[in-house]
Amino acid sequence: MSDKLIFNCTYGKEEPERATLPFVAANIAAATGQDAIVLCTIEAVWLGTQGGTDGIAQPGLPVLADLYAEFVDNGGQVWLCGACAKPRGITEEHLVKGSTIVGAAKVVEEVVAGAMTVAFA
Amino acid sequence: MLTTQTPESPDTAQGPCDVATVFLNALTARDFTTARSVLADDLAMRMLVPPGFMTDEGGDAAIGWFSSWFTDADPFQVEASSAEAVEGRAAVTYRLRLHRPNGWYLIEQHLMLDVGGDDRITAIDLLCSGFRSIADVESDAQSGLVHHYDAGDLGCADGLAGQFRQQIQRIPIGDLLVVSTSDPAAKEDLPSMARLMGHVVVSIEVPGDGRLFITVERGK
Repeated sequence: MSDKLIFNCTYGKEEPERATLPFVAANIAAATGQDAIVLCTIEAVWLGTQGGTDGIAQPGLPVLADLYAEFVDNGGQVWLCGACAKPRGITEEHLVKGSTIVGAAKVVEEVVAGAMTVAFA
Repeated sequence: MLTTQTPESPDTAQGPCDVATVFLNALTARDFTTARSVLADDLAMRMLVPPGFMTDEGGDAAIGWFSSWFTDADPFQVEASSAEAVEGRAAVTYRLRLHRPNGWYLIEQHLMLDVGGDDRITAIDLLCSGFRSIADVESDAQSGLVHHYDAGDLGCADGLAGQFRQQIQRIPIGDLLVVSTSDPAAKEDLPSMARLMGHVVVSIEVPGDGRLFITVERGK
């Protein structure tokens, strides 16, 4: 039985609030000892790359670069959708600490094993 | 027996690709009688092999060449094969791993075929790698045969799941499939995919050249 919590994030720089909010929730989970993952799809895959969080700051929310680092320090993982990363030219060389490129099967396996998913529209 | 992509033989040959498939399947099964049955009696054969360029004529002569290369091999394993149409011609490719009295060899041959109106092959242009000596694989045989599949840079959005399923279903239960991949997502995905499909991930190796080797035992 998987006890992972998977928070889906689909936005990048173009939507700072939407890009940040999943990390806020996921960081709470990680900080409280949960096995937390932010699953980045579509434009959010940039967030797991070098410089990908630069300049993303929504008033009232933490600066995403700082939040990202804190989340990873708390044991959180960032999964980047492989199908979204490939057409954007994102490879393993571009990744920052804590992020991994994964495919759909990896996510499906966790969900089948009981992982909970949280979506942010 | 290694991984093969041999298509199923059509019931009735129609067109170059079907004829080529019949020939390929017969050849890789070393059924030289069936292979001969789709060769024209006046077939023309051109061969570029390590010793040089050679030609021969006739269906019997052609089948004699294939027989001389492969009859005595034991084991005789088909690692990969394909037959495709190329605008009126057919392309046949196969890679074989075989054992001869003096050791193990890998050999790959590419054939371009002309097919006549009577569904018989009238010409073969063959390019051969020669018998390439490889390391002894007896240790593999002790724990079930080992098959290989290079997934290249296929990812989950490029049909990797379908290809992987196809490849592993072609090997017997209990045999091992060593999948190599260079796609970053596939490195995380393939073990999950294998487990979801009911197979056992035996090992994961990272050689350091950007690839990943995942050894999977077919479970069902």
